[in-house]
Amino acid sequence: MSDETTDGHLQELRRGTVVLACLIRLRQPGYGYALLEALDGFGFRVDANTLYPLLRRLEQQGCLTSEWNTEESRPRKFYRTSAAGEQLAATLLTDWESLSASLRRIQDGS
Amino acid sequence: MTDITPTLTERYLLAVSRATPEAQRPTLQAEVGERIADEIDARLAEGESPETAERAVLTGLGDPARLVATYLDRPMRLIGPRYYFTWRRLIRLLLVIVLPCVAVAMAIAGGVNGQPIGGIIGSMIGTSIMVGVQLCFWTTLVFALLDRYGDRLSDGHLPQDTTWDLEHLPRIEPAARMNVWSLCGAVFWLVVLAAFLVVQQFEPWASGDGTAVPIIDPAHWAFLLPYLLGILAASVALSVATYLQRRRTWWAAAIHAVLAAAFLVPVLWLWAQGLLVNPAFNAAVGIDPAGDTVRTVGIVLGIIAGGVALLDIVAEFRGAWQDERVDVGGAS
Repeated sequence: MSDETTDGHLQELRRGTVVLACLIRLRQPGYGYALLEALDGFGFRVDANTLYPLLRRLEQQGCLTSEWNTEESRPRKFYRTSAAGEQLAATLLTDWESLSASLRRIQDGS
Repeated sequence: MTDITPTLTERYLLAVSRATPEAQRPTLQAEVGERIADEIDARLAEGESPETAERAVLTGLGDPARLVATYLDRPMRLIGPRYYFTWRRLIRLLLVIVLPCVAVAMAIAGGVNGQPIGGIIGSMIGTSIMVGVQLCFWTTLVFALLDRYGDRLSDGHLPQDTTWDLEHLPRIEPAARMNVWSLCGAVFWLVVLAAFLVVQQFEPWASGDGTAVPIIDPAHWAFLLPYLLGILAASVALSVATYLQRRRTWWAAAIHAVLAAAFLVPVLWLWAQGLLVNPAFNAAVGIDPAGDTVRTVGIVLGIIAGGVALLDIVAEFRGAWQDERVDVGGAS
């Protein structure tokens, strides 16, 4: 199998988990670049071109709230997980764990 | 921390702003500005020079229009994101190049065949619209088919947009704004035109005996004179307003275009019908309006007047486009 094919499948597998990681991490308010670095620090490589539009989308869906912080040297948009976002995170996390368990059972059964 | 004023970044943000719908401009611009600044800082911390860092970050972001489309989740249904920007560029290029050529060709052909000016203008507009619609339709059809069935031709991977680089960013030209002298110039010519309209009514030299022979047919006076003077007065007011605002706006450019059309269309129409000039004036100065030379000169003058007005309108819109400014990091 070619590297590009593998990359494509990996990207698809990870797509939903980025949402989950953001929702959990942004219980503490944070801005785009800091979030990118933090996720990277946890071994969670996210493309900036994926992350920034995703934050906007989650905000529009009401899962994140945002506020412009103008106290520092330049204004930054700080995001924070909303109550709806918490609920979504809980649902996604449960599903993730049950998927993981199912996969293990499938492996064991073969 | 970046201390320099990075003009490349400003140009990038201007391009972002142009690709964004009005309502979302301030926030989206501020967000992209934040991202650029953060990414530049990260590269500076690794020891890159400010210029290298800025160029690398902006090149990494790619075509601003494409970036905006991903930020906004802009639905591009008929033509997907894969070909949308290529399609848009091609359509614009085709229209900008082909339509003026078609219009000029129609004008020349009409003039050679001795059509009346009204007919020439009509066929210029009609043919341009028809050609424009055909161009858009066939180009779009080809891209829509390519978008749906192109996968079978290639390996189905999203090609990188290789047609964009930093050189494509719009230039921000310094202070091309209206100064007091260009205001005086604009107002001066409007006043000269108004004065001519009034004075020609009492023109005594053509008759030879000192009685007034108006140049413009007095049959139109009651309506035409106050109408044209009103438009000139409105144009003066618009020039002053533009000067006071210190920048050219899309609104001012649009109003200017409407005023220019309101002035020229009736005048050119009367001109084309041979009704504008007073028959008594023609008789007095010995012009035969039906003569071939007079007709040709009339056509040329009409085309020049229309062309100058059109260039002027385009220049105003271009000015509004240039004066669009970016508020870097100014969101709240």
